[in-house]
Amino acid sequence: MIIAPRQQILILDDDRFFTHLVRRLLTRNNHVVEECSEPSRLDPTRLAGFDLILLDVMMPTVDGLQMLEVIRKYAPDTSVVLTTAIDQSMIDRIILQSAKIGIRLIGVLNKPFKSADLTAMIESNACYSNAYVALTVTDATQQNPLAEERTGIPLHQSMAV
Amino acid sequence: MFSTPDCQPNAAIRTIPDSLPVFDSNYLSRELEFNDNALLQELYTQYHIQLADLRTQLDEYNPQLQSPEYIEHFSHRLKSSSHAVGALRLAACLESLEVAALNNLPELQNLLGTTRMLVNHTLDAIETELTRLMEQQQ
Repeated sequence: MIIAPRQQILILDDDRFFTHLVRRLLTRNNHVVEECSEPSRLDPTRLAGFDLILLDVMMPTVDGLQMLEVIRKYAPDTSVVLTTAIDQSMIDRIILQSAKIGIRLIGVLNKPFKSADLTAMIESNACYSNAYVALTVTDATQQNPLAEERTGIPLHQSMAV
Repeated sequence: MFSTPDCQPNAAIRTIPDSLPVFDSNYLSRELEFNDNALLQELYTQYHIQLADLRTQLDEYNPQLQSPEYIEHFSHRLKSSSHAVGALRLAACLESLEVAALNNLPELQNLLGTTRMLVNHTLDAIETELTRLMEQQQ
């Protein structure tokens, strides 16, 4: 069994049950976890202290795209996993936008998800490299072959990370 | 895994299947692949708090004063938690409620009534399960 190195993880989600659940699952694996249910109150300068951010892409006060811009500005070296219960076209848009602005997007977790899926994402981040990110972005767009058509954003543009 | 269906503007409201249980007490531990009595109690308690808040929000909802966005917001948030915890009938209902609120559909009022009923049933089921888990632990 591979044990991922301890990581500093931030959960940005307005669903307190979800943040509680994820925090408990991650702390069982010795990760250091903080949660924030009101991202509009978050001090963005703290973002750079995290290895990974689990970001809910649909919150009432801040939307996912806005938050990705904040992460890019204040924590460009921090990886992101999107957590969502929204429709696929919106996810496609966010994936492509992430690639365009150079976010280290590790993957997308559809809520509710299995703990094994969460663990796999965390381990992926531990194995992070530039090549890995390029592969992830390629995979993400390949898994969504209609993404270009749906979003109107050419894939070659999104791949220029 | 029981995935959360998408919610999109103009999506049709789906009928809530009678086959869905109000509460599947094995769902959470099965889906998350753990069997930890203390953790289950903790998570059910957290969900119970959120659901009790939802009941208050439903009671306080006044369509004359508040927009359907108010409904859309809490139904979106609670549907994922409800799925995760195994409150599958309520999750399906909240999904329909979210669609109805998003599109301001006439079904909204009926769905609010169904949601209130299911919230009460789910709260009862969670309390029963919490009692069982506590007894099992002793």
